[in-house]
Amino acid sequence: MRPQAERVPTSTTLLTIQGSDGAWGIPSSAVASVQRLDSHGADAEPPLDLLALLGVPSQPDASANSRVLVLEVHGLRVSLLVHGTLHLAEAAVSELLPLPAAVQAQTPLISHLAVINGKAALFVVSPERLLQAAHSASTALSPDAHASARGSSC
Amino acid sequence: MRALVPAKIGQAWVLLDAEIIREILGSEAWLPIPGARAEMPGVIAWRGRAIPVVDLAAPFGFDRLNTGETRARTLIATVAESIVAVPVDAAREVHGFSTTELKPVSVSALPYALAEAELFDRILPLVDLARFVSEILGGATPELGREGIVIHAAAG
Repeated sequence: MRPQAERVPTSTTLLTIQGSDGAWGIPSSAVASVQRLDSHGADAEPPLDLLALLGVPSQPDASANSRVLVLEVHGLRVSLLVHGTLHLAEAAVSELLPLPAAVQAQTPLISHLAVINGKAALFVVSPERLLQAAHSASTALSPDAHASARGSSC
Repeated sequence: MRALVPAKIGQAWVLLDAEIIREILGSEAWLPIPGARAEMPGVIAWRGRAIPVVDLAAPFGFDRLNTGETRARTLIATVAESIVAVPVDAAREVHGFSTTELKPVSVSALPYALAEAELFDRILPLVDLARFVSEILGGATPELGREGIVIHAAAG
C-alpha cells in the first residue's frame, strides 16, 4: 500500500503594509480582522503601534491610512495600529528567507525577509513573537511608557 | 603570495583578502533593519538566503550608508561560516603580494588594518575584514573607539 502524500504548503499569503517608514508583512492566517481606526471599539483596549514595537522611529502622517489589525494566534489576540496601504500578496516558500542570527538579535520580532523579483522587498513580522512582545509590554510598561507605546487614536 | 582585492570606500582604497570574497556584484538594493547599528544597517537577498549588509565606512569614519543609498559594487564575503554583503564604491582585479611586499602598518591609522602594501602608487592598508565582520556579527566592535583615520599615503 502506498503511503498517502502529505500536502506541504508552497506559499503563504501576507497582509502587507506599505507605509512611508517601510514595508512590512504579516501572515494573513494570523489576521482576525482589519478595522478602521474610528470604528475600533471605544471601550476596547487601545491598539499597539506596530512601528513602535519594531523600534522604527516614525512620525505619524495624518494623511496615511491608519487601520487596526487584530491578530489572533493560539486564542490570544492583540490589536495593532498600522499606517499605510494594505495589500494581500502571495509569497512562495522559497521567497521567504529566514533572517540570519545576527540580524535576528537586532530585530527579534521579524522572522523573514520576503523577496519579490529577486530583490529584498519587505520584512515579515512574526505574529507569535509580536503577541509575546505585546503582552510583555502590557504587563511591564508603566502607565506613561504604556501611553507612548500605544497608538494615538487620532 | 597573498591574493588581495583592492576596494574603494569613500575616498579610500583598501585591500581585502581575496580568499574570503565569494563574488563581486553590482549595486544591490538593501532593506534597512529597524534600529540597526551603522555597521550592519540592513540585509539583502543573495542566492536564496538573507544576508546582512556590513558597512566598512562606519569604522573608517566615512559617509555611512543611509536608507535607500547603494554603492556601485557589492562584495559577498564568507566569514566564520557567515556570509555578508559589503557595499563598496569600486573594486579592482585581484593582485598577488609576496610576504615581503606586505609591510607592518606605519602610515595607515585605519581600524582593522593588518598590514600595508604599495599599489596604484599609494600605500594601501590591508583591512582585516574577517575580524571586523566577526565582531559585528558578535555584537562588538572594540576597534571602533580608536582615533584616527586614514587613508593612503603616496608611495615613495
